[in-house]
Amino acid sequence: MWILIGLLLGILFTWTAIKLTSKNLKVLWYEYVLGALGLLLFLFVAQNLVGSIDEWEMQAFWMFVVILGLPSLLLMGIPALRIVRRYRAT
Amino acid sequence: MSKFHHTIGRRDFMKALGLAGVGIGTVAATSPVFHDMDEVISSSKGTWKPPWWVKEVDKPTADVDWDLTKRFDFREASINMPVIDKTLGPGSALQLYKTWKSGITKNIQEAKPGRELRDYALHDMVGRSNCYGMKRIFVDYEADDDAYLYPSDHGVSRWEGTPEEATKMMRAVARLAGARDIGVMELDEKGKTSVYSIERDGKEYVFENCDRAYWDDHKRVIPEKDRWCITFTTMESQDMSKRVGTAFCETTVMDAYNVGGFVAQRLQVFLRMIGYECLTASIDRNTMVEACPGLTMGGVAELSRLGMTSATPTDGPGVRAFKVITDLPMAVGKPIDMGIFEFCKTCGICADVCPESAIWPDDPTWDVSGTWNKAGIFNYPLNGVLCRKYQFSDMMGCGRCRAACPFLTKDFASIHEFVIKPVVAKTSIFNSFFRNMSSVWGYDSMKSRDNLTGEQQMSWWDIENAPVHYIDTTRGCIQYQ
Repeated sequence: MWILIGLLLGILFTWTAIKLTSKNLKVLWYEYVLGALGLLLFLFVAQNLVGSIDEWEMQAFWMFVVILGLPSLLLMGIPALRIVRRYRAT
Repeated sequence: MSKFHHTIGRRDFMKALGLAGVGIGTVAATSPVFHDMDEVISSSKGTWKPPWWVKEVDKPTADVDWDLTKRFDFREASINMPVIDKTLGPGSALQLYKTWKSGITKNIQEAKPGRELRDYALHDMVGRSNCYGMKRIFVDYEADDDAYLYPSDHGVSRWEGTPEEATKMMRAVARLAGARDIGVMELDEKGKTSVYSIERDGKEYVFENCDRAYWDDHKRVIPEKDRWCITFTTMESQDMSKRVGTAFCETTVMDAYNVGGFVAQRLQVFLRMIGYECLTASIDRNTMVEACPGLTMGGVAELSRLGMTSATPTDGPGVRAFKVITDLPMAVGKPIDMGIFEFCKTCGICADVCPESAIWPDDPTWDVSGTWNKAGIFNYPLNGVLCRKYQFSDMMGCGRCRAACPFLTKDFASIHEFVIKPVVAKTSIFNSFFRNMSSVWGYDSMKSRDNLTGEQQMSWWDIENAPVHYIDTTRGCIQYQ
C-alpha cells in the first residue's frame, strides 16, 4: 500500500515539477525547505496514524492528527499558497 | 491568452524523473515499518480472517464419499511398527530402527553438515518435546532419562567452540526453544553473589571443586567449573498485560512462566547432548539465581523503578526472566544503558498507580525497604511484601505498574522506536516531556481497570487474528518483518 502512496507522490512531484517549469514559477529556497519538512512530518504522522490503529491506541491517533498532522498540512500549505499567489500575480 | 502546446525538454524530464524517484524512495524507505491495513478491517464472525484471496466453500475441494468412509483403526496407521513389518516383511521395523540409530551416530562421528552433534541435539531438544516430563530438576541426570544421549554415547567428544560461538549458538537455541533473548554473566566472585545462599526448602547452594553438580538433604552443590549463568527472557502479551486486574493480565504472566520452564528444560537437554552440564531452578522458576543481575550484567535489560521487572529495549517491562547455569564457556555480555534508569527518576507513573504504594516514589537510593531487598544496589527498592499483599487481596494479581509504563508499547507506530527510545537513550532533557506526553497520548490509559476507554474496553475474547500467544514475536527481528 505504501508503495502505491509512494507512486502517487512521485506522480505528484512530477506534475508539480512540470507545472513549475512550464509556468516559469520561481520557488524560493525556504519554500522548498518548509515544503520538504511539511511532507516529512506528514509522512511521519501518516505512518503513526496507521500504527496507532494497529496498536488500538485511538487516543494516540487523534493526538497525532491534531498536534502533528495539522502543523504538517500548514507547513506544506503555506509555501503552496505563496506559489499560487505568485503565479496569479504574474 | 494564446493556446500553445506544452513541450518538455530532456533536462526537465530527467529532473522530473529524479523528483519522482525521491518521492517513491522516501516512502519506500519507510515501508519496512508499515503494517498491513487489513488489520484495520476486522470481521465480526468470530472466525480467523484469512487473506482476501481465500474463499469459503460448502464442500471441501477434495470430495468425500460419506457412504464409504468409516472410523479408522489406528493400528493400521503406517506410523506403527507392526504395519511396517506386515508390509515390508517380518523384522523390517526393528532393522529400520537400528539403521536409523546407528546412522545418527555415524553422521555425528563424521560431522556431516546439518547432521553434526549440535544439530541433532537441537532436533532432539524439540523433537522429544516431553523434556524429562517437565519435572523441575536441578541437574540433568536427576531425570535419569536415557532418551537423551551424551556425546560419549555416539563415540564423539563434546562440542567445542570459541566463547563467542558458544554465546551465538545458545542465543539461537534459546530463541528456537521459546526465549526472547539471553544475557550471559560469569559467576566470578561478583557474579556468585547473585546465586541464592539458601533455597526456599532450606538447602544451601554451595560451590565446590567437583566434576558434576549433586545434591543431598542439606545442600545443592554447584561445581566451580559451572561458571556461566544464562539469563533468558520470555515474552508476555502486551494486549493482555494492559488489561490490568483481570484474568487476562495474569494469564499472560503464567504463560511466560510456563514457557520459561519449558525453555530451561530444553536448554538443559541441548547442553547435555553436546556434552555440557546445565543446572536449572528446581523449586520454581524464580529460584537458584537472581534474575536481575543476569539481565543487567548480561546486557538484556536495565534496572528500572518497577522493581519486579527490569526494562528491555524492545519489549520494555513486558518480559519475564529465568536462568540456567552451565560449564559451557561463553562470551559474557555487558550492561546496557538505554536511558531507562534515568527516565524513571522523572517519570514515576508506576509509583503513582501502585494501589499499595509499594513502588519507591523517590530518587534511587542505597537503602532497602525490607529484608526482601538486596543490599548494595543503588536502586528503587520495591516493597515486595506490599506488592504481594495486593496481588493476593485482589485475587487476580495486579500489574498496574507495568501496564502504565511508557515503555510497554507495541512497535507499529514509529514514534516509539524512532523518536522516543533513541532520544531517551541519548539525553534526559526531554524525559519530563515524554512522561507527560505518554499520558496525553493515552499510552497509560489502561493503568487502572476503572479507567478503560474506547477500544481498550473491547473484550479480549473479541480480538481476532491475534498472533500465537497473542505476542508479536517478530519485534526486533528486522529480517523477518
